[in-house]
Amino acid sequence: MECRVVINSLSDYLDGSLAAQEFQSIEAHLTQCPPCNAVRVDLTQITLAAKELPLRTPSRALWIRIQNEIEIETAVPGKVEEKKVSWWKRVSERNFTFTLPQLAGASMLAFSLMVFGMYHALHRDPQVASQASSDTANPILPMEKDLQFKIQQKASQLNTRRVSWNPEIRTVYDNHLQRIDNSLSHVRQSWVTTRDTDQQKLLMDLYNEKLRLMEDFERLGK
Amino acid sequence: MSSLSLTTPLALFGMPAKGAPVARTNNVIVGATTTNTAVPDFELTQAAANGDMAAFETLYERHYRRVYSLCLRMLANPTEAEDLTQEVFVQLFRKLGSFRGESQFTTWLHRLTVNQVLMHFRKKGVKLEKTTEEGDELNEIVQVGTDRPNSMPVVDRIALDDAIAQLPPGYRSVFVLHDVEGYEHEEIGKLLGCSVGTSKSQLHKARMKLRGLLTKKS
Ligand SMILES: [Zn+2]
Repeated sequence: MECRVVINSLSDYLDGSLAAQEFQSIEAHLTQCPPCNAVRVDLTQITLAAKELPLRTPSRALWIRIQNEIEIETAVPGKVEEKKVSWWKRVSERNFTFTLPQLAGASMLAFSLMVFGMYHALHRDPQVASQASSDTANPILPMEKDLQFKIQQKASQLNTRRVSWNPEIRTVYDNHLQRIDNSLSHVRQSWVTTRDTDQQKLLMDLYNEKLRLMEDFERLGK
Repeated sequence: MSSLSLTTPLALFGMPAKGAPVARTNNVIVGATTTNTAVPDFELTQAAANGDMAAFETLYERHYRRVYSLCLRMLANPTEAEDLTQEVFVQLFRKLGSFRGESQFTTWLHRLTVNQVLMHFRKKGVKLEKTTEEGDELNEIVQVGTDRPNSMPVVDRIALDDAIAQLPPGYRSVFVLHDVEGYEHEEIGKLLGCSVGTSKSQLHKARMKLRGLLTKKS
């Protein structure tokens, strides 16, 4: 039997899908042909390793995104379209039914909450920096300041842009932002007390998620 | 099971936002996040179909890593894999009501995932069947084996994962479905819209190509 033929049948051989006669002639070849047998050994190794590949883990903020998406859907049932690509696009494509005065109050409240949160984030920094050498009650992560700065910049850009948004978009935005902010402050608090690395990762994910939210809504205005 | 400390952050995420429109009919499940393995998937799907986000969160906790891993291995792109995982769970939420429990929930969810991935491939115009550079490839790989019979190191799983990512999408899909996920060729043929013979030959080429990639690495 030719080596090329044997090699081409190796997967069928390994998966047990060969007829008895063919199986035997390949087996006979393998016992006499070290190169072909080496390929068999390798393919066996590959198939065995494939069965034991470890599970991979996505970013911890993924659940927030899923929850947001579902929330938007359940908020306006019947407006769901299967082909929509992302939730921000969905937001931009929807027919909005609320009136401006109805929502102005709600979004102003959410907005002031956001400003409040931002104020705290900003005013915490110098304090932390000044105590950086000692074990502070409010430690700061290496990338945190950077992210907070980026978020602050985005926020001020969005503030000028948001006037052109539809009121419902503003509410949706504010709700999402508030949810992320809530989680941020909880996770941050828990990290400050535990210094747990999982909490730390989650905290960074949340900052990035917040930035991503802002960037998504930034695109709405374009 | 190494579920890490995931229950904590997820429980945090699960806090209802102000004015959240989703009804929470069965909050008891949330309180039992650590012992909820007792609640069968089917019961959770029914609760979630009635708007119980806590039940849906438990389903997510149980299955998101497998769904993400499948997406990641088939797409070889972490960002796309996350987007698709998101899409799968949103789809899942929409379709919960149609799950009657006649098949295993995991089987159902995985088919939903595979279909989403394949739809994504189609949208992107990825061809699963024909890959041009097949011609002399096998001969070349056979040569490697002939020259250096024991050249492939013991396969470590990280190296294999990397190598899978380098396969052309068609090979990759068949390999992931068959060798990683344990699908039969008949099922793969149906999913990919190809014959059993094509599925088999794609799988063999995938394995040989992986061998080549893993050999080159050493
Ligand atoms: Zn031979």
